[in-house]
Amino acid sequence: MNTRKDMTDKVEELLESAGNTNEVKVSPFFKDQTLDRMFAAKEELPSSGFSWFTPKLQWAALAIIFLANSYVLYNANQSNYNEKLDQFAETYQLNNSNDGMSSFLK
Amino acid sequence: MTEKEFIKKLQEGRRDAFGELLDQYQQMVFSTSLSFVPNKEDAEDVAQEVFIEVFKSINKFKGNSKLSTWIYRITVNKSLEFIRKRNAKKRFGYVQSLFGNEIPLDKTDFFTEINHPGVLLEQKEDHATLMKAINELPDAQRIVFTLHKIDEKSYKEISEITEKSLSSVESLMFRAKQNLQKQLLDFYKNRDI
Repeated sequence: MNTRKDMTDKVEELLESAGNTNEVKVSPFFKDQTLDRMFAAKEELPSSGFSWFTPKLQWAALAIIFLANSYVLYNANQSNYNEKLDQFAETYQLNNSNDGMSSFLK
Repeated sequence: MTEKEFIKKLQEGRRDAFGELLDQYQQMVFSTSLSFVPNKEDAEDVAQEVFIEVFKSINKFKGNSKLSTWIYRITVNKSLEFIRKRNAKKRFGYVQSLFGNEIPLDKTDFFTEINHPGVLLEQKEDHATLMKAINELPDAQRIVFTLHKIDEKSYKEISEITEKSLSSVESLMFRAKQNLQKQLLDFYKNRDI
């Protein structure tokens, strides 16, 4: 059985020898294959015409859509309220022609 | 031609410029990939991914560091990405096998078949043991140890590649060595029992 010292020496030796490898040459076809892959990838890039629509602009557009929707929704609620009020006034004949109560409501 | 002029040519997407880039850096990128991924075919795949990334990102290169440092940085990132993907695939295969799915399970405990052509036959076993121990290190320690001990880069070069201070690099190297010593001692103890 190995002693602890033997094992420690073995570990040290192993760590020190980590870089003891011969240089391995890259394959002679590597350059051409890589160039072909690079430029094939370039040709495949879809030119959708939306490259200007960067993530920043996408967020800005989303914020504008959200604000516009909120505004429309708010206005729709307001007009519903007025419509209902008119309907109510009509039902109980509180419209402009019977000025007594309608002027009171306004 | 200065480096700035060369980068401008690359940014114009000229094939001759990328040919020159490959002539200059293919061996360096391949050697570093092979230090992280000890298998010739896999290391070549990683090296190819590096150059494709350079090709895609060259317009984002601002020239804050040397071109070679930037390429080293991409090489380290791509190598780690490869290792992470392979390790995840292995874990997925293991989990699938537990549920009885018929996925062929590779029972080896390393992300690739260790087959570094530059290692002498009598050192292959020791090299494999070391690579498996390195595979257990946290990424930051793994990068520093691999670049310094296997790829033989100086602390200054590593500090530029990793964008860490010299003292951080030294400290990471110290911890990496400590962890490896502990792991390898355990390994040899268990083997002798």
